[in-house]
Amino acid sequence: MIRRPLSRRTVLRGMGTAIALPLLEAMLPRRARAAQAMRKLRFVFLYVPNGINMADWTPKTAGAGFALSPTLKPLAPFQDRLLVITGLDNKTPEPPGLSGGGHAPASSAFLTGVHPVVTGGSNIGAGTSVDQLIAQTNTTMLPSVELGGEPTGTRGECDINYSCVYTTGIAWRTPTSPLPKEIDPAQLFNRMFAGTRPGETISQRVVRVRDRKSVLDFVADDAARLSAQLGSADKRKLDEFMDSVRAVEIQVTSSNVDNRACGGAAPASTNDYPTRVASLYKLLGLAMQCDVTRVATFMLANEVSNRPYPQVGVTDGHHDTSHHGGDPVKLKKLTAINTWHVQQAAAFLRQLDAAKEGDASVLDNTVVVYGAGLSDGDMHNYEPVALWIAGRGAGALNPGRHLVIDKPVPLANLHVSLLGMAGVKVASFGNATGPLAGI
Amino acid sequence: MGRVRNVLLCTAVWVLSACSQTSSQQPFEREPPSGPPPPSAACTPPAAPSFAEQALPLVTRFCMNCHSGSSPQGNFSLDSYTSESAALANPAMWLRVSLRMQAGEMPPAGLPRPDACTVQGFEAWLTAKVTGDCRVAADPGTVTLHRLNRTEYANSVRALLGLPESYDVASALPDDATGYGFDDVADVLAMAPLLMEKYGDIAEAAVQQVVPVLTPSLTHTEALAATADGTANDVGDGFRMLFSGGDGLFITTKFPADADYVVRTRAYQEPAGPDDAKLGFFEDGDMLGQVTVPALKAAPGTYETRIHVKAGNHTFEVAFINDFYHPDPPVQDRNVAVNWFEFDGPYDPVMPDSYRQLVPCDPIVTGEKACVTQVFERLAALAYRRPVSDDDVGRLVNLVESVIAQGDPFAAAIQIGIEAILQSPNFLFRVESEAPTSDAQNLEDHELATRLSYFLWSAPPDAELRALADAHQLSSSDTALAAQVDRMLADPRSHALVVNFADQWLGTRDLADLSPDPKQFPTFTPQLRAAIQQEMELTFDRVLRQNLPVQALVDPDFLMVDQLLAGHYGLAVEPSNMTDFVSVPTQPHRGGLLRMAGFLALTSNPTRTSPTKRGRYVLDRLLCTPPPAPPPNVPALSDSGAATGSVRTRMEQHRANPVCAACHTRLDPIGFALENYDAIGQWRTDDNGFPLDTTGSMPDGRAFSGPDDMIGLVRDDPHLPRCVAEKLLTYGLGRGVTPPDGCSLDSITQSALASGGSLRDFIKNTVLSRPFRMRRGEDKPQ
Repeated sequence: MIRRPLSRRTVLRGMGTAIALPLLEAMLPRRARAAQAMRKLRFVFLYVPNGINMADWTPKTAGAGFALSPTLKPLAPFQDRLLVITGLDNKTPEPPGLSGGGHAPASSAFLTGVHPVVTGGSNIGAGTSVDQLIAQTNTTMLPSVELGGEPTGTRGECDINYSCVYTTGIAWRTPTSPLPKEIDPAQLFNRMFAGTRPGETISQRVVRVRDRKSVLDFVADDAARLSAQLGSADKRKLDEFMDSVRAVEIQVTSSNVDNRACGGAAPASTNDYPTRVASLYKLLGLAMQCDVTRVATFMLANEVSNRPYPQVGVTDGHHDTSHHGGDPVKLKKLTAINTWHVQQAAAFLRQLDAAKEGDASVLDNTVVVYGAGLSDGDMHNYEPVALWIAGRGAGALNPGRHLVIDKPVPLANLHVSLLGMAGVKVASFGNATGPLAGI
Repeated sequence: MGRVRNVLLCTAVWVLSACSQTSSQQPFEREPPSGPPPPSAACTPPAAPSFAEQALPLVTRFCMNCHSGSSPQGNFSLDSYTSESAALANPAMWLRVSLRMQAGEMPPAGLPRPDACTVQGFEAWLTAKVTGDCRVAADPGTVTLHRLNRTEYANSVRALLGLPESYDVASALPDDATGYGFDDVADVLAMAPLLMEKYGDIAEAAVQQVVPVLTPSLTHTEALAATADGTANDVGDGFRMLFSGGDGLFITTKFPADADYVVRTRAYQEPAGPDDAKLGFFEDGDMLGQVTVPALKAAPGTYETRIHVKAGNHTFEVAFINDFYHPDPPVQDRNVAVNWFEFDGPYDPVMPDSYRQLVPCDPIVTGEKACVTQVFERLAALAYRRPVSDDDVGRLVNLVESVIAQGDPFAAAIQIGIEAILQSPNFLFRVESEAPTSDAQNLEDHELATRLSYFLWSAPPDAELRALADAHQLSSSDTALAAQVDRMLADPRSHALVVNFADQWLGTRDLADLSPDPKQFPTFTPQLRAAIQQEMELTFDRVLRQNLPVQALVDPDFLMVDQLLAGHYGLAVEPSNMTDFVSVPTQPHRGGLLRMAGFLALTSNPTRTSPTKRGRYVLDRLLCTPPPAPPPNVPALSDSGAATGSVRTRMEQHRANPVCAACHTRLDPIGFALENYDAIGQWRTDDNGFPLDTTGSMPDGRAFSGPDDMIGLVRDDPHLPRCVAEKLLTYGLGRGVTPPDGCSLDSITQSALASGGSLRDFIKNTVLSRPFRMRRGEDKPQ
C-alpha cells in the first residue's frame, strides 16, 4: 500500500483560508465509512468551461423523482443514479492587491477551493486539488490521469492578469504544481495499455524495469546534491522533480501487468474535436474498467475557450456565446453547447454501466462529478454551481435526487465529503466549512 | 527629482524618450487632461521616504474612501496595506496605483485630488522602494530554476546525441503552460510525474538510435517461401530447384547495422560437367559473395559466406551462376536445389557517426573504465552545459560499470549512462548557481552562454559559445557578447526566434486552432490558414534579417504574399503564378501586422469581428499598456442581439453601463478603425450593409480618421519600441518583468533606438542588459 502523508506545505498552504475540520471522519455518514472499505471506488471529475445557461439546466422540482431539465435530458437512463445539486458556491476570497478576470478563479478553485494567486506567471499557486488528494492513496498503475479536450499552451485566450496555467487545467498536485493534461488519445492509450512493449519478452522487461529504476535512483541523487547548492525557490522546483521521480519509480515497478488485451485497439490521434472527446471518454471508461487508474479529471475545454460547436449548429465561439446579455438567440445556442457536453458524458456513463463487476456495474462503484466553475457565464457568477454527480460511489452516495441547498455553501464542502468517502484525512480543505450535508 | 517624475510619466502617459535621467524636458509628453499639477520648486523630496510618511497619508485620504471595506470599488481594496512591509509584498500593484494617478484616471474626476507635492512624496517612496532609482544600479532580479520546455528539451536532446532535425523527440510530451504570453516562463514550467515518465521513454528510444546494442541474431527464410525468378521448382523435402544460369530466389530482410553478416544456405547439387554447382548472392546485379555446393541429394550440405551490408532493408537475389548443360546424349545437366537461407549478424559493425562521436574509444583497446570515463567526461559537460567535476563523471562511470558488472553488453551500459544524463536535473533544468549573497553579481560564463543560446536558438550552446565560456571571454566583454549575437542571428538556428518568440508574441501559434464559420467564410481553407501564418512569420523574419526598424512590423514598405494570399486580399500583384512567397511593395490596405489576415482573424469571433479584441491586442501586445481586468459582476459587453446596425453602432448602444464604458472607450476605437477588415481579414466598405465609421482616437487622445491613420499612430507610438524590449526581455529571461526592470527597459530601448532601432539592436541590447547578464541571491533584503 503506497500511502504518502500530505506534505507539510499542502497543509500550511491551506491554513490561511480554511477552517480546520478535526471532526471530519466522525461527521461522515455511516455508509461513507463502509465505502472506505471497498476496494475499487473510483472518482471522475468532468469540467466544462464558460458557465451554463442555468434556466435550461436547473431541474424545476427538488427531491427524489425530480423532473429532468432540458439540458439534463440525456441523463434520463441514469436518473436513479443521478444526484443533481443546486446551491453550491465556487466563489473563493480574492487575495488583496491586483485584480484579475472572472474565469481563472472559476477553473482553479473548482477542485481546490482556493482562489488562484493573481499573477501572469510568477509564484503561481492555488491549492492541492481533491482528485490529487484521493490519488495519493491509490495503488493502481497510474495514480491518476488528467485529460483535456484542448491543448494546454497559449492557444485561445487566457484570463486578464492570470497565467494560462489557471484556465487550462483543474488538477493541482501541490498548491504550486499544476498538472499537465493529455489530449491525444493515442498517447493516452500508450500510457495506459503498454505495461509491456510490443515484442518484449519477460526477461527483457525485467531488465528494462531494473535499468529504469537505477536511472531514477541516480537522478534522485543528482537532485539531492543539486538542491544543496540552490536557493529556496529553486529548491521548490527540485522538490517537484524528486516527487515526480518517486511517482514514476512506483509506477514503473508496479506496472508489471500486461493489460493490452483490456485496452483493445489503439485509437488514432485526431484534430477533430468531437472525435477526440469521444475517443478520450472511451479510454477513460476503459481505464476505470481495466483498473489502470481510479482517479481522473477531464477538462472538456479550456476555461474561456471560444471554440464553435458546429456539430450542434453553433458557429459562434463558446465564450462569446456565454456572454449572452440575456439575448434569447445566444441563450439557445449556449443550451445547445451545454447539452452536447451532457450527451457526451451520458455516453461515458453508458459505457461505465455496461461494464459489470460482481453484481454491480463500474458506474455503481464510481463517483462521476460533472460541473462548470462558473454558474451563469454572462456575469461570471460563481453560484449556484451547475453540478451533478452520477454513480453510487460503491454505496456512499444516495442518488436519484435533486438536492437544493437554500443558503449557498462552498463547493469545497462537497470535496470534503468526497475525501471522506475515499478515506483521505485532511486537516482542512480550501474554503470548506465542513462536509456537505444531504448527499 | 527629474528622474522620479520621468520614470512614472514614461509609462503613465506613455511617453518614452522622456525617461532621460538628466533632463525634465519631455518632447512627446501630452499633459493628461486632468493629471496632477506640475511639482513646485518649493517641494523638496524627502531624503529617506517611508510608506508611513509619504504613501499612507495619501492613500488614506484620497483612495480609501472608495477602496476599502467589505465591498470596495472595483473589488480593489487597500485595507491591508498598513505598513511598509505589507505594502512591499505587492510592488507591482503600487506601480499601477501610480500609473492610474499619473494618467489622471484616479481619483476620478470630481473627487478631491492630492496636491503636486504630496504626489511627489509618494513617487519618491515608489522610486526608493519599488521601482528603484535608475542612477543607482537596478536590481537584476532572479530567474527560478528553469525546466527546459518542450522545444528546448527536444533541441537539447538532438544536439547532445547528434540526432537529425527529423528525429521526433517531443511529440509525446504535453505542451507547456504559458505565463506572460510565453511558454518559457520558469515559474510556470512545473515538473510532473507525467513528464518524468515520458522523459524516461524518450531517453530509452533515443539511445537505441545512437548507441545500438548489436547482438548477432539469425533471420531464416525457407526457399519455398522466397520469391522466385525463372524456373525455380518445388522438388520435395522443402527444396527448390534452380535449373538455369540466372535462376534466382529473392529475399528481403532488414539489417540492423552497417556490418558483416554470414549468409548460410542448405543445398545440394545435381552434378554435371567438371565443376560443382555455385550459388551467388547479388544485390542490384552486383555479386557480394558465393558458395560452392558439392553435396548430393542423399546428404545435402550447409554452406556459408560472409558479406558486408549497410543498415536498412535489402533485397538479395540468390542465383545459380554456373549452369552446365550438354544436350547430346547422354544429357548432362547441372542443377542446384536450395532448402533455406539464413543471415547471421551483425558482426564487426561500422558504427554510425553519431556513435563514434559519443563513444570515441574502443573499450578493448583502452580498457573499459578508461573508455567509459572518456565518454562521460565529454557528454556530461555538454549535457549539463558547464565544466564537470570528478564527482559528476565518477558517479556516471560507476552507474555504467554496475550495468556491465551485471553482464550487459558495453553498449547497453553506455545506454543506461546516457539515459541517466537525459533525466538528470542538471540536464532538464537550466541551473544557475545561487549567488552567495543577495547582491547582484555577473552570471558565470557558462550560465550566460546558456541563457544566450536558449534565447536566440531555443537550443543549448554550440562549440564556439562553449569555448568562449571556457576561456571566460563572454561575460566580461560587451564586444564579445555583441559579436556572438550577430553570429548567432546569422545561424539558421535563430529561426527559433520566429517560431518561438514571434509566433507567441504575435499570436501566430493560435492560428492553428482558429475556427471561422465555414458557411460564412468558405474560402478559409487549410491552405489559406497556412498562408496567413506564413505571412506573419516571413514578415517578422524579414524585419529581423534586414535590420529594419521595429516599426516596420506595423507599417513596413513591403508585403509578403503568395498567389493564394494575393487572391484573398484581392491584389493584382506580379508575378501572378507565384507559388512561393515573394516580397512586393505595399499595396493599398495591405502591409504590416495590423493589415494582415492573421492578426485580423485572430482578433475576431468565428462569425464576426471583435473591435474589443483588436483594441486589446494593440494595447496589450504592441504597446504593453493592457487595460485592467473588468470589474466582477458586470456583464461583458454584448455587441449582438436585439440592437441593429453595424457592429460599432450596436456596441455603442450597449455601452450604457459607465463601469464598462471606462475601459471600452479606450479599447474599442482602435478596433473600430479596423472595421474595414472582416473576420478573416478581407477588405470591406460596409458592415453587412451598414456604413462604417472608422474614426476615433487613441487612449491618450490622439485622433485618427481611419485605419491607415490609426496604424500610423501605433507605428509612431513611443510605447511600441519599449514594448518590443519588454517582450524580448520576458522571453529572453523566462520571467515576467518586475518594477525594477523599468530602468533596464528604458535603457535597452534608448540604446537600441540610438543605434538605429532595428529588431537586431533590440535583441542585442536585451542581451547586454543587466537583468540578462546578472542575477542576485534569492532573498533580497529590503
